[in-house]
Amino acid sequence: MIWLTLAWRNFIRNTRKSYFTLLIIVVGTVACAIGLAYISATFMLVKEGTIRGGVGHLQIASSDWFDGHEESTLEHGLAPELTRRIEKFSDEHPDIKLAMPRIRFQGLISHGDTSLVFIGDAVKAKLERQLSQSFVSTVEGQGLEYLTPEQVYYVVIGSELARLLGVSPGDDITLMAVTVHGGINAVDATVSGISSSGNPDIDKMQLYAPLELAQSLLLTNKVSKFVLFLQEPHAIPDVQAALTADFPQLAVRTWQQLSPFYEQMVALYSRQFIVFGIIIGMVVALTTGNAMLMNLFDRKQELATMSSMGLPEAGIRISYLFESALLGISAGAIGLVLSVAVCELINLASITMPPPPGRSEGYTLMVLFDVGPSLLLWAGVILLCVIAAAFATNRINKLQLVEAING
Amino acid sequence: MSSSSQAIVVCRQVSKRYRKGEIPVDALKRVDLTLNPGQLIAASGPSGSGKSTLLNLIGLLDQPSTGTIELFGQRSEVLKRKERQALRRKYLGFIFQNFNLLPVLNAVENVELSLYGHPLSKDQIRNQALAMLQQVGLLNRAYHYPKELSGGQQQRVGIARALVHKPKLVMADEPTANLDTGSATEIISLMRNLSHEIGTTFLVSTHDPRLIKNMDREVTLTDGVLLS
Ligand SMILES: Nc1ncnc2c1ncn2[C@@H]1O[C@H](COP(=O)(O)OP(=O)(O)O)[C@@H](O)[C@H]1O
Ligand SMILES: [Mg+2]
Repeated sequence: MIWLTLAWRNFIRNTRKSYFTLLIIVVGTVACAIGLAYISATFMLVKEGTIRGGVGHLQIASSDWFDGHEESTLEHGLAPELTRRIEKFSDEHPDIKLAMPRIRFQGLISHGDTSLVFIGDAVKAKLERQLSQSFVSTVEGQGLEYLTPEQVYYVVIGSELARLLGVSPGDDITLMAVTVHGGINAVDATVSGISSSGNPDIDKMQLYAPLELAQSLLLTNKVSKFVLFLQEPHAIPDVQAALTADFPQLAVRTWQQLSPFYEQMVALYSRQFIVFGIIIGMVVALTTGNAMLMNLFDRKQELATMSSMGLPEAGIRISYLFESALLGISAGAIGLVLSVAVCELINLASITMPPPPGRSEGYTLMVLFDVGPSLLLWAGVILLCVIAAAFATNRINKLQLVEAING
Repeated sequence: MSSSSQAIVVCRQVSKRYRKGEIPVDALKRVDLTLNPGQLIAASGPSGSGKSTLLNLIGLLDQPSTGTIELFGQRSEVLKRKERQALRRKYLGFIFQNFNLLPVLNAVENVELSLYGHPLSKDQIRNQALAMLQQVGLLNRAYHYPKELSGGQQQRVGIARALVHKPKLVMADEPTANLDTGSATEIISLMRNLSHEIGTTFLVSTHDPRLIKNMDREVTLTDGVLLS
């Protein structure tokens, strides 16, 4: 078809101006692609961080535990009979990798004359360790996972809490809490390690203890809940359905339900990216539109000649749109290939970013080139180029034939 | 209706006034003109006398201020944009002073452009275009691009393009102005032969006396007034 031929030939008849246009579109594409890659990486990191940071893929507990408030210690806890059934179910279900009982408890921690409030997570440390490098990580001393089964009376406490109490690994402390019977009980324990989450508010109260320590402190054999870690995140809906069917008296929550922060972050980042994308898109559209307009002026004589020969305007116009689409296709492709390379470089360079608000530690900048959104971006670039050209070609029918023919 | 039943163009009292600058310019003043088929007609006159204006009006590239132009029995002023386009594609050919070949197309592709929209297969189009190039003596340059051709060769491609679809009327506005004397003479004799072979009417604007003496008929413009 003649219009395609014209589009192609005009496209490869590259002038310095068209290289410049190409460059602008390439830069715009790269900027958007890197932005997308940064967001993808952030979502992935936050998602992984949330899941591995202790939330797991799914949690199962009584619905009152999730939604309500415990008037007394472990009021909504899971009794041993239920605990065993959950463990058996998890062992037998092929999609469940780990099922970890936890007790959430609170009380006072004392050292010498100082007593402070703590919020404790009692865990099976060896299991937790398989889920996460961070949940039970220590900055000083040793984590709970190094304890032998006989070593029950050891704790890991947050760095701020340790500082306020003036303790370091090896020091003895006393824990006090209200038991399930309503009385007060106390146990002595040794500080095994110091943890740091990066969030001072958490580190001020956080305490990790072996499950057995909490149970002997609270005088119970109940647990608060189970945290499940699956082989594959895809299995979440299936496992959730199976659990709900087998344990109708309990509630099963996904990690997303348990961390609304993630959804909020996705919404916020998406909005920011849309604004950013619109700005870049406008730059690309204006540049392309302007280039196609200049193009029209440069080829005024050719256009008028074709028109004088009676060639249909629609055809001439289509040939322009094709040409602009070719520009978008090639610039977009170059942009995406460059973006892959830039992403590799950014990840290799391990750039350290300043700590986000509420955190005390920086993080390494990471980007994740994602094929799906990038293909969409490519399509968007092509579309923008065609739209810009369509606006430019509106000038064709305003062309003064007689004047244009003589150049 | 028309003054002669076989006339292809009838201009009646055609005037054209340009209002671009401060003072309006009357480029054509009450021109009466009838063109018959198969003739080679010179529109002569000094620069600025209105030759291009006349050709543009008859070629439907512009519209008269007053008066009427009848083309192949159709009143031009009632034609819509698309109808003018279609009329130009079917019945008219243009040869330009600056040749106006499309630089991204080679010689035969430029010629083929005139066959766009005609009910022909791809092969037929190619063969007709090549045959036309042979008639203008450029078959051996068929796949050359305009920038690889001399001015005279480019104009021969221009002539082939204007004639390949066998139009009834070809407008040539100073077709030899940018050519040396040798090429100019060749081009004129080529137009003369083709006009007689194909039966096409040529309206050629020129102020070159060497060309005018080879024409079938001469009309002269002075200051927008036509003398036959
Ligand atoms: N587009 C235009 N706007 C204003 N004046 C024009 C235009 N085209 C031609 N003219 C004027 O009309 C007159 C006739 O011009 P033209 O037909 O080009 O003469 P020729 O082709 O014989 O040299 C000239 O005075 C010219 O300046
Ligand atoms: Mg002129």
